[in-house]
Amino acid sequence: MYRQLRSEATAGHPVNWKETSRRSRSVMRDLDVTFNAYQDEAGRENILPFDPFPRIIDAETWDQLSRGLVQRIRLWNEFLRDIHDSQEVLRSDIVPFDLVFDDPRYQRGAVGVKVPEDTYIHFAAFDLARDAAGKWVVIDDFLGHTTGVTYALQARNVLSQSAPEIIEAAGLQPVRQFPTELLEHLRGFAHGTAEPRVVLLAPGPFNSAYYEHSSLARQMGIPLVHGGDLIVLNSRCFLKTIGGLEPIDVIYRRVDDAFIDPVAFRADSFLGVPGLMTCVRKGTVTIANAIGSGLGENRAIASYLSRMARFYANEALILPTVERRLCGDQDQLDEVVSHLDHYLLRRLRERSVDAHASGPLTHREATVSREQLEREPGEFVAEPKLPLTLLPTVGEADWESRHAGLRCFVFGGQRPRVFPLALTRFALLAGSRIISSGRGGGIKDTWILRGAEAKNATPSTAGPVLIGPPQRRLRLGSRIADSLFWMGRYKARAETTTRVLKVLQEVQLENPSFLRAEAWAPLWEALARATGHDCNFFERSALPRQQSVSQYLLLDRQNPGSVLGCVSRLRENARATREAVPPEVWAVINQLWQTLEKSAQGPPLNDETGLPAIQGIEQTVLDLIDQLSGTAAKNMLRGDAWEFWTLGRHVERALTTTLVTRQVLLRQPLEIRDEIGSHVSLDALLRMLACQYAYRSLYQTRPTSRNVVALVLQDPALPRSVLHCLDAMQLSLGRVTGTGSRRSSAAGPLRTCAQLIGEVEFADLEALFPQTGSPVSSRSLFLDAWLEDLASRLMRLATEITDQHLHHQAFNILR
Amino acid sequence: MLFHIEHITEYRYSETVTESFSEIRLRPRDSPRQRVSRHYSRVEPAAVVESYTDYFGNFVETVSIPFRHQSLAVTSICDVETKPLLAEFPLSELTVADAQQLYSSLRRELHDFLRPSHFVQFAPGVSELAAEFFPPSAPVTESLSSLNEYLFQHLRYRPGVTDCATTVTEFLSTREGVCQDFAHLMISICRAAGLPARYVSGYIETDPIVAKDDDRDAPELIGATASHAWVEVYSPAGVWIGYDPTNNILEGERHVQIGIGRDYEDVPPLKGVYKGSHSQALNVQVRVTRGESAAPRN
Repeated sequence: MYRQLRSEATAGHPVNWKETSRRSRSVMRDLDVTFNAYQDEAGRENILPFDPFPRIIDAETWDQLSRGLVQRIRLWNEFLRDIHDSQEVLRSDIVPFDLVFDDPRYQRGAVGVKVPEDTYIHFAAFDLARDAAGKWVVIDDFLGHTTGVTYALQARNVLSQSAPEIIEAAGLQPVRQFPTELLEHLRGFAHGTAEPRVVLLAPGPFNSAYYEHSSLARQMGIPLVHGGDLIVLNSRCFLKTIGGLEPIDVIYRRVDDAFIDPVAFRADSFLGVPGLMTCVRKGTVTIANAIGSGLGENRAIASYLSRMARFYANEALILPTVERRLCGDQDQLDEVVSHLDHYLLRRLRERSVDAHASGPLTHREATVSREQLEREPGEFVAEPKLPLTLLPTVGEADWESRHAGLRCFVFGGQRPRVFPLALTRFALLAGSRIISSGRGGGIKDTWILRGAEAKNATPSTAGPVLIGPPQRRLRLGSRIADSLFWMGRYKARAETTTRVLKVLQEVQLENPSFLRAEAWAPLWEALARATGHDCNFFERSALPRQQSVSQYLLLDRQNPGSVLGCVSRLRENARATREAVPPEVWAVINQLWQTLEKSAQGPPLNDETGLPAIQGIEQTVLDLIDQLSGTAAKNMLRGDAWEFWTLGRHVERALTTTLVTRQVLLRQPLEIRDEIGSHVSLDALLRMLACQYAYRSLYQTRPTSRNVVALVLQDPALPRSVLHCLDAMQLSLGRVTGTGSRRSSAAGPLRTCAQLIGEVEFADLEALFPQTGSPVSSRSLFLDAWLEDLASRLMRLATEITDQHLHHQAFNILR
Repeated sequence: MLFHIEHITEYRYSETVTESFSEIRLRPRDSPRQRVSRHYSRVEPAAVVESYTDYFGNFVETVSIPFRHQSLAVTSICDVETKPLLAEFPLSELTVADAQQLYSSLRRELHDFLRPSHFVQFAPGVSELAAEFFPPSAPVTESLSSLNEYLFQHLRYRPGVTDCATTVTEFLSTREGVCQDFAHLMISICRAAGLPARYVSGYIETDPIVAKDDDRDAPELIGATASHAWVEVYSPAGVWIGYDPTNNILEGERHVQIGIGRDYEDVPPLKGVYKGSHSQALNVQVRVTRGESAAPRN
């Protein structure tokens, strides 16, 4: 099979592996398949290396592995059930009790607590390798919680996008349904409800596996929550949402026991949910995998699995654990110490990512190992250095060969089954045995072939699909809503800044130089106000660090109001809520950020000589922001998330329209209507608000202050008008609160919004302009005060929205 | 002896806090030596109090307060009857080596009380004391009494110099602390000598029993405002025997046990988390009085 696939390439067949490799890389970047490498000190996320040439596992091998894995997860579950019950396995001396009692993952608080269907391991992963005799062995059991499944899915996804033709021809077991099947599986463990609600509990965006958490939650269609998003009341666990408290039935956790409940376990943990154990004890929530299941990751206990197989099931272990020496035992320790080079020393409990990393030990390493071994021998096991599988990879010039490891995924419960999905990780460098993603390893797709007899059969081994009414949607989590609200605001802010600066530069270019410098003043002031500065900011020409205006406003990292600053925060917010943001939207945000980052890394922008380049950047940014709006509109579900994204954009837009307008009009010389400067700045204002054409088609004259103000404030059809924005916000708030358009029952921000609409819509603008002949000093002052007041009320509305829906003190429990 | 106990714990926060969740371990345990006839806890601000029994058999109450509050007060009331100590210890003539031999058949059951734990570490000074007081040939009961007395003589009871997080090593160097430190040190020494020992949290009746005129010489017993901690050592005869090194006495009728564990970490009276303010003031009042109170049942 490998040969066939490779020769197709060399014979000039459509499968061009190098081309596929190139395409895959760009797909990986667009999807932003990342891993937070701990060794990267900046804590940045790195794009995972991907090799397009798949690993292939034939049906027979897979079948054999599956049987072994199903038995293994059964035995582990039985062990954990026993340990949390009567501990027969310890009473009968099958497993030494001190291995269990001295392991911090033995949770005394979970002993005697009954879990639904006696299931401790709902979903597990196992790392496999072949031993010296070529027999498959398990080198790591991941029973507390597992990582890697999303990378396995993405590997297939990337290959399908970059080389669809070969995937189609290969006759593979389909994997697309995995997230849904995992969700169905987990829902099956909910207790006493027909409509179980499931969340994924993760430690947050700084965890190395954050990409995996968010991506999985998204694909499963469940909220990704942090400890602070949940609250325990009267032995029930709730999710804080924009609508109130939602009871939660199943928590798919990616947080270790020690961090899951700061009252029951580690008091210094900020990741957990205080009191969660009270819910577990009362059986009101199912934790998957159950509290205490991490004990099964003890490498010494795993060595007793064959004894457990005899004890619990009177069976032989199909898929054994790699043969380990337990250094806590004096005889075994002596053997290890005298042949240290032959062994790979591993800690009993460390969730090490690198089972394979080992070459000959250097002298220093050997000394360290001896010392460590002497000090705490019981903390170590020693494993033989297994010959890793070498797999072909696509190199720069030719085929190369790299060490690789295999991880399989298994559903637990009453009827365990292996999902036909596996993760292949490989070492990036020739000869290296370091395959973990955290230390620079890459991933490949894994092809699990269908057996001859199964080729025509239905591929799915899952249970029947339950047909029922759609679930009531979980309301959006408050933290997520907050992020989406700010994403909307930052997006609008980045757009305004870019557009205002761009128009200013264009206007200066277009107009003759005989205009006095003061003529530009209103526009500079508008720019300053729109970007969060005092209005005389640019006059003082006090730009920090001797930058050009363009550099400062577009690319300065230290200016939080710069376009790069806004886009960075837009991206951070999107990243922190990635499960609520469709990947297409994320891809555009990421591209936008990368474009700006790349420019920021180049030479600083020069306002005079570098104008073409600056305009190029501005145009790209505006295009991408348009693309972002379009992609979001096309891909986002019209639910709560959409409403908060909409609210953020419109509140920001209404605000900038008000501020920019106010600033331009403040210095507008009303008396000298014919002066060119007047038209220039009004014209510029229209262009800044992207409504030049709207104005022309409506008024068919040169711009006047009155008309411009009427347009940008009161025209409900103009997307950037204050009235339009408020209308949009009213609709969103109505949907969020479920009150629709019934204004009479409105309260809180909806009421405030409705009041503002009335005031803007029916404002007598004529009265705000001075009568002809009134003194110059009073010109526009009414209007100015009115606009200033409007701006501050818009800001208060924004605060009211966040107070009501996001920082709520939720008492109302949703039924 | 019948006791009526009122235990009030109050936290005051410098600013409003929200989402507090607390575990309370204040109900005396039922044991062959004591019986609880009534117990209830009241929480202010008002909230539902739920309960469970933990791994070591202690009674735990939980309270969740999701709304804004500035203080949290827990009032725990109970009536408990204690029985006097056995006059005679069985197997008291056994040597340390004999005892260790007898424990070996119960290694699994006693494991938790033979190993180091969060506060109980085998610090260098500990092993020396263990070797000094428990040579294999020494009679175990007598050795325990001498250790109890030694700690009482050589360590100074002084509130305020240590806190909940003080380790055995620190206490050994300063030699000043409270009952919790005395208990942790004694447990360390016993475990280092292979004798199973556990931590007891509880109350001690501190006032003189009889009128002062009659008995001026009766020593006042020491406890932290009647909240107290001591040690239980597993006797080869199959019972736990209480030693109170802070007072150099055996656990008796005037001791009321709340809970047991490997060390303080397993039985803190109040443990909780909250969101908000960074500083809090704690005020604890305990009253242990003779006889059942006339207070209405809750």
